[in-house]
Parts: sequence; structure tokens; C-alpha cells
Amino acid sequence: MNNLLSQYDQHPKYDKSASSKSENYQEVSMRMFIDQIFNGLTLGSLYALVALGLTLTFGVVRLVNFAHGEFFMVAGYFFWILQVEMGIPYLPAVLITILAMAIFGAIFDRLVVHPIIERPWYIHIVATLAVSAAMVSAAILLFTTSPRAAPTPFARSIFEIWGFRISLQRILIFVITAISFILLNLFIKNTKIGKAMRAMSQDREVCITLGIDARNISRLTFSLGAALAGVAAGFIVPIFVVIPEMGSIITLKAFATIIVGGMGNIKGTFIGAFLLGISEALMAGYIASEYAPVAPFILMIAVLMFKPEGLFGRKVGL
Amino acid sequence: MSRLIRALIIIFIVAFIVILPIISPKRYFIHIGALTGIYIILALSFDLVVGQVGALSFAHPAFFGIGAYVAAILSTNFGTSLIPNIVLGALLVGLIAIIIGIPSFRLSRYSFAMGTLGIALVAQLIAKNWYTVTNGPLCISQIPNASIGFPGIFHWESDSLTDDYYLIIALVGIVFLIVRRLISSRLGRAFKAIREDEILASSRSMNPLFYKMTAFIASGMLASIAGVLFAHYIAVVCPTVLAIDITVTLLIIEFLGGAGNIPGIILGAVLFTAIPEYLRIAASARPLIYGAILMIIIVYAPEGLGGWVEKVSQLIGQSTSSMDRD
Repeated sequence: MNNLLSQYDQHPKYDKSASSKSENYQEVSMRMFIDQIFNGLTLGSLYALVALGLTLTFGVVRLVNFAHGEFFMVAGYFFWILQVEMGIPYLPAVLITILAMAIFGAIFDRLVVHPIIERPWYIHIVATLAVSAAMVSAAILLFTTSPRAAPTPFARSIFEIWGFRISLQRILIFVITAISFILLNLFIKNTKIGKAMRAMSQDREVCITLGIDARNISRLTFSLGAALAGVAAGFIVPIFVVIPEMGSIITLKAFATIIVGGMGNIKGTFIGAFLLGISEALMAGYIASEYAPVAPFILMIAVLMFKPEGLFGRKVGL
Repeated sequence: MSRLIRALIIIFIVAFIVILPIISPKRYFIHIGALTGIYIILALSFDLVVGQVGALSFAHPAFFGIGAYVAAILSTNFGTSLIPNIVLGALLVGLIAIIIGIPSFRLSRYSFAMGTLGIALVAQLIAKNWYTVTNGPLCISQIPNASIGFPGIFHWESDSLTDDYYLIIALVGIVFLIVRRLISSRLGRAFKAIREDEILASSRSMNPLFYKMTAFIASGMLASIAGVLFAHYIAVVCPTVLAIDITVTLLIIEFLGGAGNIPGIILGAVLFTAIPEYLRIAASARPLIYGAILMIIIVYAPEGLGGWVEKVSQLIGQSTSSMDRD
């Protein structure tokens, strides 16, 4: 539980060679601003991928999963083992991580979600919090608390666009997030399972009477949510590091995201994630980097105060 | 008959608590007793908001930690004594509870859980990063002993483990009486009404927000007392006192004891502080074991240990009353 994102994020430092040229102050501050926006887009992508899974499981299964960030942590360690310990090339390692996480999601559904789904809401929170604490503790025992890095060739190749330096990995993250979002939308809108998911999010009982297999949908939803966390880990771990506590803070930020975007609203979640990411990056750049992780919560509290249904409204029908 | 047995059991327990420092073969047991006392205060205050009014709050590590930091900062810098520390800690926590509680209660039960979890996280972040005040991860050490006194009139300082133990036990007693008084009053009945059916309660002209906030603020203030005691007792306060793991332990106690069941909660607090401390289970392994236990309790014993105790005592009551009839 620390400000790991600001702590370990390799903020693209303002390029000194450029500053030595005769540039006026305005240009310098403009550069810094754009650098922070790039940072915000990276953070926003991370929040989007994790929060989309969370909003999906909340919307479809009606379960508040406080262990969702731990999916990201597990995926991070899995990716690290594949990439660093076993030496598997980058893209196959990412693919295996995503598939493994889909299976992990199904197992989580069977072991944790299934026994408690018919119980009241607070049981959901307490049970998933217990599982989350147990997973963090298990990760500490297995991997110790020392941070693990899994750099990729993409993270080191730096792009230069109009004088702004940005690593290929950061561009890749943003593109992958956008593709995941579009694919998820197409899946939910057009496929039969997607339609069943939307129906489940509207009325569970009616769906069951109409012959939709609620357990199967729940399993698929958790698979999908965990796979999205796997995508996040596969593309974002290379620029951050993996530590056992990283899931807990991501859980909180993903919740802040879905509260800002409107619970169960996929588009709102996507936009909310980037709002949060950019506000956090701007806070890191302009106010105080050590308090940057607080920015999403300030945004969340403000939204709760003035627009409690979320910026983009709650859409139960996803 | 059963009333006599109950009175005897209570007298026995109180006597045991009072003479523990005298009969204890090791000083370590007194230390476990003191820690358990602090956890009983925390668990009772946690029950006030979670068990009585039915709002799931995760802010307890923050409230406990704020109490500990207030005591640490004030007594190391200004040499304040116990009572001002308790009062100022409780006031600060009350203020934070108001600022966070009102917006968090507005949307849904989930947003309250989220908002309170947010405070816990932000409080830990501040404790880690605000070096000039909290000393960051270097901790605040050499916190003076708890002392009570009026300048020039009298002065008492707890300068031994036994003194600390009795001080903590006295405060456990005071908190216990406050909580019992509170939940058996009109206010406590309103808490339960809101827990059982918020809409019905509000149709009987009870304002749910007012009662939920009252329970939340009172619970936070009591938790900050535990924090103040902890700071004076351990004499070192680190950002880890705000760790969210405390919530997991408190939830186990709550669910093991049965929400709203005070004897059950106290029993749970004793079991889950004294036994792990005595067995010296590694701190990093505790959440794994606790998480598994909590999951098992939730799935297999939803009404908690307190429910079992009640059932057993009902059975005993039935058998004794049937014996009376014979």
C-alpha cells in the first residue's frame, strides 16, 4: 500500500539537451504539460483495463470484488515468471499471461464467487477483501517484498515526435487499451454471450427463468475481467515493477474510476479512467508527486458530492 | 440459577483480568493482555458502525492511526498528557469522519465502503510522506509514558508494564460502558431500526444519515482512543499502524463474534489477539491465515461464534429450566 505508481513510474524527464537551447519559459512549461499528459494516458490505460473488468463483474454478476486489483498483481507475477525467469519472448509471454488469467478468473469464480453470490452485499465485500488480503500475503511469502522488473525491448526504444520523447511501450499500451475497449464493446453488443451478459445485468432472476445459465455467465464474466487485468499486466508491468501490494491500490483506483464513470457503465468507465490518470499525472507534475495517488480519491469524493450517480450516469444495462 | 452462574462467570472473568499481572508467570502475558485490551476497544468501536448500524466502514486503520499519531506528535513535541491527547485525537477524527462520511453515505453502501477505504489509504500515504510532521517511515519514537494530572495539583505517570496494563483495562471498561449505554439507549434502538430496514425507519421520521453519521463519528472517536493508548504503550508509531490489514482482523472478530453481539465481539477480540500473539505467528503470514479463516467463517458459520454461544447457552438454559421443573 504505497504510492507505487508515482514512485516507480519512470517519469519521462524533461529533455535537458532541448532546454539548453534558447527556449522561453512558456515553451518549457508547455513541454512539461504535454509530458504529464502522456504520463496520464499511460496511467489512464492501466486504470481503464483494470476498471473495465471491475465494472463488468459488478454490472453483470452484481458482486463488488475487492480482490480485483489482485488479479493484476497475480498477472504481473505470472508475466514476470514467464518473461524473466523462463526467458519466454515478450509477445508469447503476454499471450500466455492473458490466457492463464482467463483460467484464473474461472477458478476464482468457482472458489470465491460461487459460494457467496446468493448472500447479502456486505458478505461479498468482506469475503473478497479477505481473499485479497490472503493473496497479498501469499505473494509476500512466495516472492518477498522486493520489486521485480520485467523490461521489454519496447520500453527502451524511445520515439521522438515533435521533440517529445516517449517510449514505444507507452504508445503500445495506449493502442492496446483502445483496441481492448473497442473489442469489448463489440463483444457485449453483438455476440450471444454479450447479450446474455447485458440481460443478466438488468435482471438476474428473469434471465434464470428464461434459461440463461447464470453460473456460466458469471464464470465467463470473471474470466473476461481477469483476462483484461492480464492485458494490463502484460503491457504495463514492463514500465513499472511488480510488488505484492500493487493490487490493493489498483483496486481502490479502479473503484474510484467506476464511481466517477458511473457504476456498470463501460463507456463512462473508459473515459473516467483517463480523467483519473491525467489528473493524477498533473498532480504529480505540478503539486506534489508523493501525494499524486490521492488525486483520484479527491476526484471521486468530488463526484460523490456533486454528481453521486457518476459523471456519465449509471447504466445498469452496461 | 442461570443468573447466578452468569454472575459468577462475570465475577471470575473480572477477577482474572484484575489479578493477571500478579499471577502471570511471565511479563509477556501482561503485554498480551494489554494488546488484547487495545484490540477490544477497536473491535467494540468497529461493531458500533458495522454491527449496530450496518454500514461497512474500512476507515478504522485511519482512525486508530490518527489517534496514535496525534498522541505521538503532541506528547513528543509539547509534552501533553493522556487526556488532552485523547480529546484532541477524538476531535480530529470526528472532523475527518464528518468530512468523509457525509458524501460517502450519499450514493450507496458500496460508495461508503469505498470512501472509507480511501481515507485509510490516504491517511497511510500522508503518514509515509509528510516527513516534517510524521517523520515518514523513520517513525516517531521515544513517545513518553501516559500520564494524567493537573499541573501543580497531582500527577500520575504510568511507568511500568503493570501500570500500562491497568490503564488500558480501565479504558476498556469505560469504552465498554459507553458502548453498552449507547446501544441500549433510544439512539441504539434507532441504529438497529436503520440496520434492519432503512426505508421503514425513515418513514418513522428517523433520519438515516443522522444516525449513521452519529454511529460513524462515535466509532471513529473510540477507535482513536485505542490509537492514543497504543502510541503511549508501544512508544513508537510507524506508518504501519495504519495498515489496512487491521480491517481484516477486525472483520474476522466481527463475523466470528456475530455482528452486534458484544460478548461475542469481546471473545473474538481475545481469541484473535491473544492466540496469534502467543503462538507468534509471523506477521506477514497472518493475512493469509486470517483471510482463509474469514472466508471459512463466512461460508460455513454465517451467524458467527456469538450465534453458537447463544445457541449453546439457550440449550443449557433449557436443560437447567427443565431441571428446575423436576
